[in-house]
Amino acid sequence: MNKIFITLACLFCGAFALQAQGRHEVNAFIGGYKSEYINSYGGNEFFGNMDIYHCEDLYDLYEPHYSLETGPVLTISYHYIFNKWLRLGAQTNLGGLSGKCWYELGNRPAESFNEVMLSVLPEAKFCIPGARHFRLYGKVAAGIQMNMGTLSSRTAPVSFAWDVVPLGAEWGGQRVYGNAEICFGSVIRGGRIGIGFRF
Amino acid sequence: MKRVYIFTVILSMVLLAAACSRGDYENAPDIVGGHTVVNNLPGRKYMMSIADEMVTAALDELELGLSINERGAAERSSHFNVNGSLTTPGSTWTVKAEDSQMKGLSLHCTAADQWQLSFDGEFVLIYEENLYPTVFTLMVDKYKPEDPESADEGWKVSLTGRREERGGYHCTFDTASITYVNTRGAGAPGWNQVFGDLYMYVFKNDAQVDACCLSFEGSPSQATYIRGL
Repeated sequence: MNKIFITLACLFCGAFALQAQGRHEVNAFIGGYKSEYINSYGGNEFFGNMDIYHCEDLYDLYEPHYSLETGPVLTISYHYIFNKWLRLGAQTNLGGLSGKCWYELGNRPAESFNEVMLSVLPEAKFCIPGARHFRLYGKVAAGIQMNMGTLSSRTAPVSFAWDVVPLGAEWGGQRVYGNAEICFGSVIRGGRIGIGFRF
Repeated sequence: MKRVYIFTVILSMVLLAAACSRGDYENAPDIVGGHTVVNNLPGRKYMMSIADEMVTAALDELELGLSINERGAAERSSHFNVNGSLTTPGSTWTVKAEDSQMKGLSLHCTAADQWQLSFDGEFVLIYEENLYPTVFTLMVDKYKPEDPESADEGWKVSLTGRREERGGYHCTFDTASITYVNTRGAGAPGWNQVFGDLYMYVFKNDAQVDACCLSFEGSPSQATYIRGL
């Protein structure tokens, strides 16, 4: 059954690519990530959890500590191509993390948990027209993020989300092309690579 | 053109592999679903620093004051604001040296061989980051060993105090009496015997979350730490 869906999806995307009109583009990305919202659990400053063992005050002794492992984030975006400089659209991101929560002091057992984040962000993409097969761009996006899981249900089920791509690159054909971009923000911090279809 | 596509595919695969690698941002004790580990070392370390850093820093100032009490006024006033002799009841000296973490500590002679040390300022515990408002009062008596031939010297102190920290936390600490004893000529400076119990009560947003005791039975480094009193 899954193979049928995958085949249909490929055919769907392929059909879009073949019927390219050149005013729309869809991108699928996968990215490595460290989310700002991870740190909100620890209540520490940015990357605060990394310094826990160097600052043993009462907060560190009695507040829970978190160890988090993040997986890749899947991003799907759509843009309408206004002109060669500007594209407007939206991105949606799906990511997850697993973690452990424990206490520095005493014998309270550690808890494990899993979280899923889904975000939707309207975005603007600014392109620098370049060579036929290579183009640089930047993006800004802001929207909301839904956080689902044991911890987020009692901390921040919905949060503000933002994403900035200071530098991205597209290369390949006019209909099908590859992407790589550096990104930071509340949604993802690190980089994304993907594939795009223009139609 | 074909080379561009091949290069694109290879680069994408490399980047994809890098992106999918999972990041472990912190090494946690692997105790989920297994045996729990009782870890009281950080709490013990915190209370040890009160007894070993805070109290003895104040006693060091008292000892310094007594050692220069009989010397000239110029030497005394370089470190303290001086009011009379430090051994005369009613006199008060205040630490004014900028390089002392006990700046502002007041040494007040209340009776013969008895002082009240009062501090209200910011004090570092354990790490430099832990500079928090701390208020404490030490009542200090000169330790008199039972054996008059004994070479021991030291102080018998009682402590009350409070420390404000981040995240809504504060603690109070007190003790009926802790005795710090140094055997003259015992080698390295410092206390070679400490006796007594130090109590600490921890609060978050003014609600008590813990009560602890650090019990000294001789060795200053081997105190017994008890939580959840």
